[in-house]
Amino acid sequence: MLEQKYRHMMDQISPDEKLVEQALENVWNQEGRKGRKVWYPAVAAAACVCLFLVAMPVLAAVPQGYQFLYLVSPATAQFFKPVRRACEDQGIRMEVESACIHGDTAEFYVTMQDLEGDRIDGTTDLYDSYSIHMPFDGIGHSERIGYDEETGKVSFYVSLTRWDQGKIEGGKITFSVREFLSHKKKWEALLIDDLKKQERTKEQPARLTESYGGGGLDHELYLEKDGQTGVLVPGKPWEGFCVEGAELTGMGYVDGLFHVQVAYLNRYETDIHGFLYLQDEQGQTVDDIYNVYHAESEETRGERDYVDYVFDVPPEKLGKYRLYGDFSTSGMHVEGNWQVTFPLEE
Amino acid sequence: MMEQIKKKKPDILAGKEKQRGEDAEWVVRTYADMVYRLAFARTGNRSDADDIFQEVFLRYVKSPPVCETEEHRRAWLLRVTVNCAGKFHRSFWQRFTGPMEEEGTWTQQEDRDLSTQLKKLPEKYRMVLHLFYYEELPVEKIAALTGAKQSTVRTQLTRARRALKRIMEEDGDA
Repeated sequence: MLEQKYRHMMDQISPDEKLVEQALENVWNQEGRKGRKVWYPAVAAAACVCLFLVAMPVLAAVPQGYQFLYLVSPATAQFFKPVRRACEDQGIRMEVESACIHGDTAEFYVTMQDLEGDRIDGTTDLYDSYSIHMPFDGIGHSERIGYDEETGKVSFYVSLTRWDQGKIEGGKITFSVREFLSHKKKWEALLIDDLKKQERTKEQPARLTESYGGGGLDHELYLEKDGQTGVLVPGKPWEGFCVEGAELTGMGYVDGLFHVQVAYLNRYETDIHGFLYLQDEQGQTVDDIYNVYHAESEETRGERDYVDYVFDVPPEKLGKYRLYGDFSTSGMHVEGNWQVTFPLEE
Repeated sequence: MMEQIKKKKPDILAGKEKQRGEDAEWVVRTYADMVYRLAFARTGNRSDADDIFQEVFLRYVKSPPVCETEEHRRAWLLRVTVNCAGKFHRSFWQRFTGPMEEEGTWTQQEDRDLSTQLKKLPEKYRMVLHLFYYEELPVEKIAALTGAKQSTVRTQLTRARRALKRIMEEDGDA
C-alpha cells in the first residue's frame, strides 16, 4: 500500500522543461557553466560580511561542546551562541549548549551526561522519542554527532526549519526527551544455518495469522485484504542461536516459499531487530521478498513478536545458499523526563 | 513535461565529439526524471532539487564516466545525486535561499498528505525509502550507493517505516 501511494505521488514529480533545457545547454556548450544559477557569489559575499560582524563576540564565549560543531560545519560553527540551559532527571543531565538561527532555520546542540553511572555511551540513541515545541510550524531532525569518553557526554545536533520558509525571529523552543537506548550490541553476517539438511526443504506446519507490520518489496502482495497471511507455526527455540533477546523458532517451506521465523523478546524495550539473507559461495546474496510481524495474541505483542522472513528460492536450489543474519539490540533502555526551554536569539 | 520531450538515442556513426555530446544529451533526457525525483525525495522541495539536478548533469558533462552498461550509468547517476544532495544539505550558503512553494505539484489530497508526512522524516530516511520503493534497489545496492553498511540501510528502512506509520497515525491517516 505504501509503495503504491509513494509511487503515485512521485510519478507526478518531473523537472521543469526549462531546467532540462539548461542542462542540455551545458551538454551543447562544453564550457559548462552557462546554465548554473548565479546567486552563489552574491550570497557568499553577503555571508562573509555577516561572518565578520558576528564571529568575534560569539567566539569570546566558547561552550563546552563547541568542538563538536566543527565536525558538522566549521563555517556554521562561527555563528552559534552559548545557551547553557540544562535539566536533570534520573541522574542524567541534558544541556542545550549552543544555538543559532539564520533565515528559516534554527540549529542547536544538546549534550547528555550520566552523573551517576555509565548509562550514556557512544551508542546512545534517542529512539525517536524527542519532541520539539516551537513558536512556528516546522520540521526538525536530530542526529548523534559525537561522544566524549573523558566527560561521558554524548552530543546531538538538532535542526528545525519553518514550513512556510519565513524568517525565524526569536521566540522560545522546548526540547524534550522521554527515553533513550544505549549499550548497543550488533551481530553482523552471523551464520545461522548452512541449509544443507533435507528437512529444510520440506513444507512445515503453517497457520493463517494477522500481520501487524513488515516490509520487503513484495510485502503487500502477500497480505490478504484483512491483513492475514500464512506463517510458520512457532516451534521450540533452536539451541545455539546466540543473539540476546531473540530466538529462532522455525525454518522451512510454506506454500512453496522458504520461511525463517525469529521471535524477538521485549522489542519495544530494546529496539531489537534483525535482517536475514541468503548467500551463495560466490557471495551473491538473496534478500527476503517480504517479512511479516505477528504474535500469538494481542497480549503478547511487544513481549514476544515473531517475524517470518520469506525467501523466494525453490527447494531444489536452497542447498547452494547459507543463511546469515544481522541483528542489533540495546543493553539499556532508560525512561525519564528531560526538558529544556531556551530562547532563540539572533 | 518530460513526456513531451522526445528521447533521442545516441548516433553511433557520428564523429567522436559529436557522439559524446549527443550521448550526454540522450543521458540527460533519459535520466532527468530519475535524478530529479531522488533529489526531490531527499530535499523535499523543488528549488533545492533544481540545483542538485544541474550539479549532477554538469558533473556528467564535464567528466563523463566510462560505463560499460546502462546499469552502470544509472548507478553512477544515482550515486552522484546522493553525493550532491548530501553536500548540498551541508552547504552553509544554501541555507540563505528560500525554497519555492510546492503548490500545484500534487493532483490529489492523498499525495499532498503523504508529501507532508514524508517531510517530517529525517532526510536520510526519505532517501533510502525512495531508493527502495521507487527505484526498487535491493538493500545491498543502496548500501553501495550511500556508502553505508547493509545493516545500517536495513535499520534505516525499518525505522523509516515505523516513523512514517506513527506520523500517519498521528494524522489519522494510518
